[in-house]
This record gives sequence, C-alpha cells and structure tokens, in this order.
Amino acid sequence: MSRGWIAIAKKTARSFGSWIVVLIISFPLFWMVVTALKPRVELLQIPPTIFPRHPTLGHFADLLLRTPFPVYFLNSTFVALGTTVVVLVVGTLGAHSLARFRYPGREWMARAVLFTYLLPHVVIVIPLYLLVAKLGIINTPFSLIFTYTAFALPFGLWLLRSFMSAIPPDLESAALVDGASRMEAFFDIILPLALPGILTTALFTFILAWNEYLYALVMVSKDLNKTLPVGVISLLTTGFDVDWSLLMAASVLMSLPLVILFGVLQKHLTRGFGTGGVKG
Amino acid sequence: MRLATKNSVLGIGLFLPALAFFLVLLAYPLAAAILLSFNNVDTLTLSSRYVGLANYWDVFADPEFLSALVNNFIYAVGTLTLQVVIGVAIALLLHREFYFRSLARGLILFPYMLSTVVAVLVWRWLFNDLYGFLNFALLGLGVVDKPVDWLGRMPNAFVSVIFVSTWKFFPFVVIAVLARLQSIPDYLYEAAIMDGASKWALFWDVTLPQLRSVLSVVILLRVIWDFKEFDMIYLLTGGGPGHGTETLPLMLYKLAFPLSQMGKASAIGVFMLVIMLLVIVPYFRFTDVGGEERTR
Amino acid sequence: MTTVTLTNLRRVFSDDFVAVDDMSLFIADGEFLTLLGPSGCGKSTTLRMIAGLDAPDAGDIAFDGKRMNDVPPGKRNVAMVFQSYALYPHMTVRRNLEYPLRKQGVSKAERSARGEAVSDLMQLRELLGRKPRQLSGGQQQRVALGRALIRNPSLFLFDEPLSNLDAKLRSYMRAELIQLHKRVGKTMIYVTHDQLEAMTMSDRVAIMDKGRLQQLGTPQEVYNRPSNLFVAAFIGAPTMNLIKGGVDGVGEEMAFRAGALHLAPPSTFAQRTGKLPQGAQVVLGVRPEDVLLYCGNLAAFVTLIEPVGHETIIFLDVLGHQIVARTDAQTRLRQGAAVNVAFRMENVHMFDAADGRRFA
Repeated sequence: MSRGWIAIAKKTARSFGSWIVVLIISFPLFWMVVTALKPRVELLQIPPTIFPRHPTLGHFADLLLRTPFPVYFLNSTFVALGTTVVVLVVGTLGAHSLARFRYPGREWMARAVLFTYLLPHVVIVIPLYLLVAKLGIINTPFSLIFTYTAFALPFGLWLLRSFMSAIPPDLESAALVDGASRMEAFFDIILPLALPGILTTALFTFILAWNEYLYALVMVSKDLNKTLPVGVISLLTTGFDVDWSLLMAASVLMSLPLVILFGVLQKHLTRGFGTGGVKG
Repeated sequence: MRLATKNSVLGIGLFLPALAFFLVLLAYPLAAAILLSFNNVDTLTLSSRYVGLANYWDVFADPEFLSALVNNFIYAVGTLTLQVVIGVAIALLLHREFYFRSLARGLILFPYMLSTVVAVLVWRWLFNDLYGFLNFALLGLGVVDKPVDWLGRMPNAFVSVIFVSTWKFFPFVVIAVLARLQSIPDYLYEAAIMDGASKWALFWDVTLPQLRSVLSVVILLRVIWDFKEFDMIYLLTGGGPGHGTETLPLMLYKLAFPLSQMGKASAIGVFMLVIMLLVIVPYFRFTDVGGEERTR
Repeated sequence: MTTVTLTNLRRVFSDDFVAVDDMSLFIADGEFLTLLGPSGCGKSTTLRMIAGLDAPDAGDIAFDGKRMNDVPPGKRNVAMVFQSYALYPHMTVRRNLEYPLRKQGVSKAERSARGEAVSDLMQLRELLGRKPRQLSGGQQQRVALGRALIRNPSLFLFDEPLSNLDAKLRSYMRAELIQLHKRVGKTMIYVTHDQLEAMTMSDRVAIMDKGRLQQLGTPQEVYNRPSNLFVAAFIGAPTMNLIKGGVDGVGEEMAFRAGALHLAPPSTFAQRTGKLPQGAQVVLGVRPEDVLLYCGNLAAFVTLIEPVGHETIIFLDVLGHQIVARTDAQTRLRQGAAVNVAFRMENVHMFDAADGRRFA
C-alpha cells in the first residue's frame, strides 16, 4: 500500500526532473514558434515576453505572400520527393540484388559503396559542380536529385539489404515454386515485407534532401530555383535589418513537413507483419 | 548451369543502377578531386594545367591552413566529447520510466531532424546581443553585467559553434544508446545488485561495457561527420571573426568559390581524406566496430 | 504422368563442400519416394534441385524424360511444402491459397471457386480471412498443403513438413498424407530424417549419406537387407547391434570370432557370403528382436533395463560385447541378472569391416 505511493512519488519526481531537462533542451524550438507568433512590436521589447500577448499569423502571411518562400518550398518538395523516389527504386532493386543473388564481386562492391558513406561531401563538391555544369543541369532541381541520391544510397542500400536479408528465404522459394518469376517474387513478397525498412529509408532520404545546404548552395544560384535552406538564408542577408519574425516563421514552416512526416511514419516504422507464416 | 547464369545476370542487372550512381557521382568525382589537386584550373575556360604538388606546398605553407587544421581538431573533439557525454546522460534519463516518456523522446529528437539552417537561425536569434533571450537571461540572473557577443568575438565564437553543434547532433547519440540500453538484459543488473554494487558501479561496470560496441560505431560516425562539418560553422560564423572559427571545409569552400582556386581547394580536400583514412583504419583495427559483444 | 529421373547429379557449395555426389535415381509415376538420411546428407539439396531452386553443378534432372535443368521453378509444374510452411505472412489464408493460381493467370472467378474447394478439403473454411500468424502449427500446415494442392501439379515435393509438429499431430498428419497420396495419385518426393515417417509412408526409400545414395528399395527391403553398415545402423530402432570381429574358418565351416564370442552361422550363410578368406575383418549385425533370451549358450548379464511400456529394452553384456535386446514388458530380468542368450542366425547380417559393404 505505502509501497505503491512511494513508487508513484518516485516516478513523479523522475518525470519532473526528466521533463525539466527535456524542456530546457527544447527551449530554442519553443522560442522559435513563439517568436514567429509575436507581433514585431512585442518582439523588440526588453524584457522579452515569454508568451506572445497578442499572437499573430501576420508573419506567416508576409512570408507566403511577399517573399519567394512558396517557390522555395515547392522546389524543396520537388527535390525531396524526387530524391526519395529515385533512392527507393534504385535502393530496393540494389538491396535485393545484394541480399538474394550470387555473382562475382558482390561483397567487394557492397563494401565499396558502404564505405562512401564516410566520404566527406565537401571533398567532391568541386568535381561534382564541374560534372553537373558539363551535363547542363546546373541550376535545375535534377542536379540536386542526382547528387542527393548518390549521398543517400549507401546508407539506404545497407539498411534495405539488412531488412531484406531478414526475410526468410523460404518465402521467396515458395513464391518461385508457385509460379512467380524472380521479379514477381520481389514485388509480391519482398517489398511488402521490407516495408519498415523502406519507410525508414524514405524518411531518412527525405530529411537529407530537404535539409541539405552546401550542394544546394553550389548547384543552384538562380533565386527562383533555390531550395528552402538556401532560399531562407538569402532572406537573412537581404536588406539591412534582419527580420527575425519572418525568419522564425520561415523556420517553423520549413520544419513542419518533417515533423508531420515523422509523426505519421513513426507507427509504421516499428510495425512488422510478424513471422507468422514461417515456423522455426 | 544456364539457370544459375541467368540468375547471376539478373542479379548484376538489379545492382547496376546503384553501381552507376556510385561510379558517376562518387567514385569519378573522388578520382577527379585527387587529379584536380595536382592541377590549376581556370574556371572560365575550364582548362587545367598540371602543376604537380605545387598546390599542396602552397596550402601547407599558408598559415591559414595550420590554424584551420587546429580549429578543425579542436572543434571536432570538443563537440564530439560533449555529444557523447550529454547523449549518454540523456539516454540514461530517457531509459527510465516516467510520464509521457515517448513524447519526451520525440522532442529530444527534434534538434537532429531540423535543417542546420533552422538551427542556425534560431540560435543566432537567441544569441542576438540586444533582443536575444540568452543575454536577457544571463543579465537577469546576474551572471554577466553586459551583453555577451556570442558570435563576434573569440573565444566566444568558437565556444558557441561547439555548443550549437552539440545541441543539434547529440540526439544521434541518444537514439543509438537508448536502443542499446533497452536490450541490456535485467539479469546483469540483478546479479550486480546482489553483489552489492552502488548506482555508480552499476553504470560503470554493467551499463558502460554493454554500450561499448554501439559507442564505438557512434563515435566513429560522429567524428567523421563533425570533422567534415561545413553548414553549421559556415552559417553561424562564416569562419569568423577573422579566421577564428575557420575549419578546413570552410577554407576549401572559400578557395573554391569566391576565389576560384580549384586546384588548391582540392588539395585541402585530399588532405582531409588522408587524415580521415589515417584515423579510420587504425580505429577499425583497435575497436570492436561492427563486431559482436564478447560478454554474453 | 510424371516420372523423375536424376542422373549423376552433383552439387558443390562455394566452400568446396560436396553436398550431393553422383546421385542417380528413377522415380516412377505416382510413386511415393522418400529421401531419408541424417542432417547434411544432401537430401534437401537434392529436393531443391528437383524443384529448380538450386542448380546442379553436373548431372541431369528429367521429368518424363525431358531435361529440366534450365527450366525455372515456376514452369516445372511442381508444388513444394516447406518445413517452415513458408506461408506469406502479409497475405490472408485465402490469398495464400490463391497465389499460385494468380501466377498462372487464372481468372478471378475460377480462383475463388478452386480456393473454396481446397479450403473445404483442408477444413480451412473458417480461417480464410485470417493471417498466418493467427493460426496454429497444424492449421498452417494445412494451408501449406492446400496451396500445394490447388494448382494440380504433376509432382509434389515435401521438405520435412512434419518436423515442427508435436508427436501426436505428427502421427495424425502421417496418416493424412498417406490418404492424400492415395486420393491424388500423383508422384510425391518426401524428404525426412525420421525413419518412422519413411517406413510408414513410402513406396520406396532412398537412403542418403554424405551426398551419396546408400540404398534404394522398399521399406521392407532396406530393413531386411541393408546394403551397407550405414543403412543397417540407420534403419531400425533400437539400432542394430554391430559386432566387429574376424572370419574363422573357410567355406562351410566358416565361423565368426570376436574376442570371447564365437558364432557358427548356418551353412546357408556361407553360400550367401561367398568365399571369405581366413581372418577377414567383418562386422556382424544382429537386430535387437533377433537376440533370443533364455536360450542358447552365450553367457550374458544385464547392464540396464529400459521399460518402454509395451515392451522392455534390455542392455546386455554378452561375453564382453554390448548388445541390445527386446523383450516383453513383464520380464522379470533385473540389472545384474545373468541370462543365456542366442542370436537368430538366419537373420544375422555380415558386413565388410573395411568399406561397410554387405556380404550377407
């Protein structure tokens, strides 16, 4: 009886302590949202108010109506979605090859590709810039889609391969005997069962493409083709006075899609279909 | 045997797209970067002139290079240490049961998920000398008597850079460690408690050894990524004040783009690569990276 | 109408392990043939090659005389039941059953009809909407069988399908499979390491060890006339008693001597073995049921009694040799008791000690 109370008291104390730490660490995010909602007048007050007294959506409106922000947003969406699609297609096919086929040089190539995950991207920015210029796709979203795919593939391949290897080989064998070709077995059996890995790769790739700065800066200089990270930073440097309200509003809107994606996918990431079809 | 051959051909075919991306967009540029470092390139005509190791000597002789190298190491080691210490501490915190724990875990993840641009903007606003919250808090608490210039003076700028980096990247450590913590079996702790272990001993003698393998991987990845970090430092301080926070990636970028000295910039790139290989290879030998735990 | 012909089949794995070595076998149409052997003997590998899931490094596989080596599994008109059942976890029972028909391009209406027919046959009606993880082991097995039946294949392959079931369910399923074979009448190739399954279900048994075929014959044949030491020791439970010794005397006076043990086989024995030189090293095989108690003049004493319920297994020391015998459950023999034993010499086997080959 009293032990129950002590346990609850301990948990409450622990919750209190843990949440204080979490809130301190998350404070900058809170401050970002709060700043975006404060009217400019309130912003420049000293001492600053913690919660906006007169919250306004005006900065968001300014951002969407008076800056190229919507264009940046669309560009980022196109690039991120494009990259994700390409990575998933190339990645699932490649991972399937690594997991289920035998051919000379397989392990060697797999390791080489994985090793590039450790490559500092800044080292190859110049040759990639020159290559992209030569191919004539500089300043287009495709330059970024191709580059980001190359960056995301090593990790994606590794992750997808480990998911696919965990699928019992008997399932694919059964499908083959049942009349499926190897590609049919891939679509009917492997892909559905590798779904958690596919979603994880998609999320990771999307985040990479959405947030990337250096290459977006180097490859795209035309303002209307810029992606969000580069575009928003250019909002910072235009004009004399830094419009922090606008910048914080931009930060919130930039981060929103990621938060939503993560929230939506989180459930699916951990769900599997169970190994109910296979014993032993 | 022809069936087996057909399968092998299909297998290779499925891997070809990935291989193509790898060769064209990673292997070729890498080789090109190395070649580029031995040349001087004129960006207007894109013609190059072989100069042997001249770029390297020029770069090494430049005092800016040495300071960038030193800055790189201090930054990487500094932020890595903080990330690991804080990351492990927070992971331990989030491992125990408390109310709304999953929400807390989600929140902790945010700094890592944000774009570096957003992190930089938020922190620059917090660092703002007049209206920034940090200065307000410190002045209010009496810790300082005039506003701090977080990004415009040394050593403040360097500390700020390390601090913001830590804030942004430590959740990576948290996720990895937390996942591992959840798989440590209870009986290890129970046995130690029966042997009379204190709370600290439990952490040092049971938890930490179990974390060894995941920490090896985490430290390796973070050291590589912190060493080559460009976005954060470039956007926060631009390398300033002066060259105070300039690291090798920033120097590379500056040589390549405003200054169009592609050959020299590539030399720095190759140098970075060599350093990293020198670190990675012995690291692999020395630690258990990728190996199974031995205690079981 | 499907016969299966294996000719000099050979499969070597990448670490130079020879899984199947020069396997040749003919399986008649409608026959139930079991590939029997210990783990690692090559039986599963052989089955997979017949299915087309693995390709032989040498040799041929033919169905009705047509060479199948390069035909992909899906086109061989074969059905396979796996030890793990391999039910598609993300599909319902109905979709699992219908999958082979979808791959064949069968119309939706026909698929549905045949799916229902098979589910009735296998008593799966109420389970059609469930996913495999919601089924018991026995139910999953029936789905696996149903999926094999639904496509009317000309050849059925079974890879240790009963290994994951408990003993009671296993004996029930054995009977079910025998019934199935009678009803369907198609050729069935069955792989197992359990000799009871092999003996009760098969028309013929192919015993394998270390990738090679050891003996091919009906269950009675392999039991009564094992062609080598391996088969003799593998078939029969408890295991046949094997005594190493030498031939003493030639021709009709041939006798067997092993230490203090001296046996005189009947004269017919010498006819079966042919001329064996004096002192040839042989192994004598006596099945436990051929060890007769309370008769003969071999002095023995009991070392261990194992009552099994319907009978008793007795471990004896016969003139220094460890021999196993069977007797009724009501036996009054106890540990340490002395008893006379004799061997039923008409049923005794003799093998070459050097290569295990059967002499008689």
